[in-house]
Amino acid sequence: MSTFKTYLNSSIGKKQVVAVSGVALVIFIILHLIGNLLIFKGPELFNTYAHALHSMGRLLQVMEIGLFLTFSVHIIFTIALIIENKNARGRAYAVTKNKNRSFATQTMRYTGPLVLFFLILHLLDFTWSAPWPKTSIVNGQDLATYGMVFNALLNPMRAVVYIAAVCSLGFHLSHGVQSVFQSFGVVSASRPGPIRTISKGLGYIIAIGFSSIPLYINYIHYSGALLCHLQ
Amino acid sequence: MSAKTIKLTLKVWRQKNAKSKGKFETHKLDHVSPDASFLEMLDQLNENLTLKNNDPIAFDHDCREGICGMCGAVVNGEAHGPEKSTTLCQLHMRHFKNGDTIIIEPFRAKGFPVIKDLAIDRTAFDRVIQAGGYISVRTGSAPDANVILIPKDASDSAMDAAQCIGCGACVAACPNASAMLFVSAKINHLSLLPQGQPERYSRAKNMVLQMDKEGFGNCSNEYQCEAACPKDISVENIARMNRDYVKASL
Amino acid sequence: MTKSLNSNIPEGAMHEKWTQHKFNMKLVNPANKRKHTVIVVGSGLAGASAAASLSELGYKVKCFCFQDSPRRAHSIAAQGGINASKNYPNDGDSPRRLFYDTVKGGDFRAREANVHRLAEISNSIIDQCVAQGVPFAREYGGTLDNRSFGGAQVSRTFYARGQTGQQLLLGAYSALEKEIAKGSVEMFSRTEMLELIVIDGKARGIVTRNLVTGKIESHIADAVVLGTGGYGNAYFLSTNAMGCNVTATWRAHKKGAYFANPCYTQIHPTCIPVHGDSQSKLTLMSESLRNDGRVWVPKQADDKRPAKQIPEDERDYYLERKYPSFGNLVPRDLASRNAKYVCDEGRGVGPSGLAVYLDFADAIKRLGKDTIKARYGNLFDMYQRISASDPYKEPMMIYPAIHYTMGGLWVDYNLMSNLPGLFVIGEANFSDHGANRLGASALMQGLADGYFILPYTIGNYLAGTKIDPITVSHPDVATAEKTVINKTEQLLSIKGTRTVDDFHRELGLLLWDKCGMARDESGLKEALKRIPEIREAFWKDVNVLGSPGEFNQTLERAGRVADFLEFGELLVTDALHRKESCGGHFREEYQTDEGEAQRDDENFCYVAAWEFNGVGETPTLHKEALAFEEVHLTQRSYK
Repeated sequence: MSTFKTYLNSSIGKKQVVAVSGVALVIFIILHLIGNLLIFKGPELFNTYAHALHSMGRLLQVMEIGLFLTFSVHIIFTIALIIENKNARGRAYAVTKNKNRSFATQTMRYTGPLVLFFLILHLLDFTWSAPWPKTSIVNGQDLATYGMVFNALLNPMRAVVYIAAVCSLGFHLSHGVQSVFQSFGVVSASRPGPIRTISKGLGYIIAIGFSSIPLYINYIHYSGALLCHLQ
Repeated sequence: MSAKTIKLTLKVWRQKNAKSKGKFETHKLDHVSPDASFLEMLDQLNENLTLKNNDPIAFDHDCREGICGMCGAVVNGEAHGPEKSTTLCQLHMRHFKNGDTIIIEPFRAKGFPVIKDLAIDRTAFDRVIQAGGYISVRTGSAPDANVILIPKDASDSAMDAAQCIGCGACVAACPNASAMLFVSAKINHLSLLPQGQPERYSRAKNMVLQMDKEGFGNCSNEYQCEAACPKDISVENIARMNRDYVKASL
Repeated sequence: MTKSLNSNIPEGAMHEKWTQHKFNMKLVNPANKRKHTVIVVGSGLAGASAAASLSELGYKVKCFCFQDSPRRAHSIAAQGGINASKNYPNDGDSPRRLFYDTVKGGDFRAREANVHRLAEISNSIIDQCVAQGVPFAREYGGTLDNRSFGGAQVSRTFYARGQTGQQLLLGAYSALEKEIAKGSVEMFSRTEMLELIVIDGKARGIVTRNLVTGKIESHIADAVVLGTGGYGNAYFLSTNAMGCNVTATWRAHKKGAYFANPCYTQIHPTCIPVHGDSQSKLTLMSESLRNDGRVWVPKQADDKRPAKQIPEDERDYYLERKYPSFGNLVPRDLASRNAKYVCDEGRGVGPSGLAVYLDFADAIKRLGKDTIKARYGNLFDMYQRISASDPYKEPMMIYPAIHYTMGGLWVDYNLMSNLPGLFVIGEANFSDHGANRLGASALMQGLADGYFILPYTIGNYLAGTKIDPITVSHPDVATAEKTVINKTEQLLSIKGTRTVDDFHRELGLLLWDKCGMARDESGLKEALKRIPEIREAFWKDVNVLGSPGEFNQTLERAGRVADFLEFGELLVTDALHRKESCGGHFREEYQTDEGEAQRDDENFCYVAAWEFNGVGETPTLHKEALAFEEVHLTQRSYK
């Protein structure tokens, strides 16, 4: 046990914990995206999916707790690393130049909290009770979960926030995914190559995939395509 | 070799000792030969300061041919200055323009306390080596050199890592002041060779623990270290160290 | 009191001397070893290997270096390689051949028994270094690769790319750090030795200055080992590191240790020329460049045309002209001296007129750019980085520079100086290279001394000598400390108008001019007159700022330059007294009709060991006669 404790306390250990929890979160996000994309298939299928999820009962609770713990671990260990890193520098440089840092790499510290902020908003919107009114009625029809999502994302402000947030998430992952490979010593991540391409690609897919939902909702609302759906 | 000289404005970090606060000091320097090295330019400034009875700027240097690893400063935000794969002593003033302002700071890290001005204390690196950066072989106990056959590519990879000069530019350039490039180069130099296998995992573990103890930051895979390294040490070394470290720990 | 110079060479046949001597030497009981403290000053190849090996044996070791880490010692800059007579390439090498080549290469001014031992030990060094993890170059089959170096007829040089010195030093350094971790070596970095403590005629300790805090401290031991390198920086511009100095050996000399053959200095022909007044040091390029480059200057003096505009028939390929059979591959000293001659005639090139061309145009035409790039790519890159000229297009400019010093403190076969308890290893002793060192032999000697000779001979001394227990409260210790403190205070009190470097540059130029590649009586006499004047001016007019109790780099340099100003006089005195030419010491008056160094074996076949009689006083000469029983005295010829 003390070996494990030493490992968790070490710089590489902490980094790897962040990596492992990150991997779990990435898997969740991918599954979540696949589920969400059912929205393109119309209210019926989407609601069936949502209902199936909710009828898992205990299992869902366990998964939610697991997810919560994973998020917490990811965040807590990252915060610990950030504090240590800040202390490790001491006085800051008067000038710094960033030679090979990509935009995604440089903004990890900002995209992380942005995603967290979004997560809370997201949970208030769809999971918890929120201080703002929520409705599942669309065009006089109760469309259940589909309707909730539809109404929330129809708000242009909300749509913009959501898109910004999922783009942050995409950037976060485009660095984060390849970083996992480096942290565990898969050598090919050290150089531009397939791992880095996959990492970037995944970032784009997540960002575009999630962004497509509010865009789609606004599109079908204003183009009148929704009415076709409802008929 | 040109006869023209350039004029510079130098903003140099001055700090009397480890405890004092330190501040930037601005000096004008004329007649700098473009053929002079960066350190020769500092020599010239120091000669001028001395003749005016001002304390010259302390900076570390020794071989001035890019191999001892003693020199180093952050020049306009870059460790060892703007040239790739070049130590400060091998950086020449022809890479600067007449009228340039150059900001010169010491390598900044908690693990490298400032001794005076640009001179820093890098003994942390020695302590990391003491934690395991060696093969435990006594003088006289070695078998004939050719008894140990080493594939050429393994030997070449070990040499790639072994070229590290221990200057600390990786720490200086890392946004987190992490020493992982240095430590991993030292670990891999030995772990890539058959002679280094018996102590491979204990070495990785002990050296990483010592590195942490010295107050260096954590790697966030930003590869700034590799960009600043005057000897082109690859971040693949860090990946390999990470792998050995997990194996050693779990 | 004149002490006799007994070299203590063991009896017996040459190849049995060391084996027999190892058997005859007294041993220190393992339980008693940890009661002995040994001080090692310097942490280069010799110092680090000695400190680590002594500690492994069980002695308590205190090791000192002026750099921030023992890994920075200037051994790190050696490029080419390390010799050993392994005969892996099966080309007929043997310890005897290495011995023979080294004695001959040293122009018959080295001690045969020492050189033979060096050749015998050479193989163990390679074994030791490989076991430590030194990544020497390998063949595809996994065995070690060798190359021919410095004109040797066999391939006996082991190498790690162009960084052999670095890798060997890191090996020795890792062994040292292992012992530091064990607690049996106490390491003092950023600490400079400023005085030798001699009590009852024995070396018993040193006085040091902590370069960060300025604290003066004394350390007592049963023996003191100096591995403090050479004195090439007396010339100001050299290929040595900026911190290289003569201080440790000079201050030991002032305490009674004899200084041997200081006039034997090696000048390397292929260095990058001086660019201007701000130049602080010179950079060497491997002399392998002369394998394909052609050396030339314009036939006309003061020809300022760019190289390309000088037609073929107006170029003088002077080495090919004067030495038709060896051409551009003549030995280091000949190549250097001839460069000086053509520059003296006003035919030198470059802005300073102190350079000659090393032209690869023909080689590129013959072999193609790719082949040249494969052979010398890294050297061409280095040249271009420093001089901003592309050697694939323009001829390189080169000029000779001081690079290694064969002279040093006198030691006997046991590497002990005439002062009992003071051992001197590596470049700091006068040892094995005679009047000229062969390429790739410096690394070999440093490690032989540290790993395989000193650990035995120091035991013999400690076991056979009565060493009284003393502490730092001994009155002689206080006196030694007082000397150091006074000198420091004196330097800081002058507050003159000239900088330390200014004086150093003046001394260096004088030595280079009068006691460099070629020397003659009148020039040497003039230098002997000038040096005391510069020294006097230094002590009147130098400006050393700051205080003694802080990190004060000017003060460090001032102390070293003060020593060079005293040492320089001895260097010139030795050069003046040696009325012959041999190896790196070339006296214009003594040359053959072919312009070759003319030795005078009848009168000068000895080691000149000088005893200090006071600053500015004529030193006393002690001679150790050299006998050549195995290798017969011959004259070199390269026509």
